[in-house]
Amino acid sequence: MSESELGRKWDRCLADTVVKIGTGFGLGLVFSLTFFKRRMWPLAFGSGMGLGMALSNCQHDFQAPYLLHGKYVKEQKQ
Amino acid sequence: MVSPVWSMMRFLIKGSVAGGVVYLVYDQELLGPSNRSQEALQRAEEVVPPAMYQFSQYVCEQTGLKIPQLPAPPKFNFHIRESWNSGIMTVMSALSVAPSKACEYTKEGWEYLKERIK
Repeated sequence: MSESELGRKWDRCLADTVVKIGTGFGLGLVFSLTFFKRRMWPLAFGSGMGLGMALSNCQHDFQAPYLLHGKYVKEQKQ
Repeated sequence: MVSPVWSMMRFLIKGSVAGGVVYLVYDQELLGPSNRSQEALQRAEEVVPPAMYQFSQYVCEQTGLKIPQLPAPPKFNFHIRESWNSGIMTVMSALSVAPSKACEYTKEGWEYLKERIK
């Protein structure tokens, strides 16, 4: 992986993290205000979900060149 | 008779707001792949500052207030990554050279003291 590609991956990862945490926080805020009587836990839950999804995406992005993709091949009996 | 209707209305309004937000997130693919999130962030960066500026202009026109224009932020031509890398290399080379340099300076200091004492 070249350094420019690594830099692009880091940029994408950070942008993704910001967007997902913000989206999770926003969704949690909306649900907290509408259905859950202004409790704090939907905000924490939404932010945590967004962070976890971003982390998973980043991990997959960085590991993608090194992952081996295989498939099952049926044995052919002669 | 009014309160059940009102509670139903409230529930429908809340449900529609929450459903609209969920649909917006789904439509914009904000919780999807990372390249979509990056594109959404770039779109937001392009749209939000002009919208904020137009809103502030509208508020100024309606209220008669004048918001002072802030000067443009200074642009830095400072590359953090290159500075950090060169700093790390300098520190490591100094640490690798430190024992030999310390011996050399100790010898020079000792020779200097011997000459002074003579």
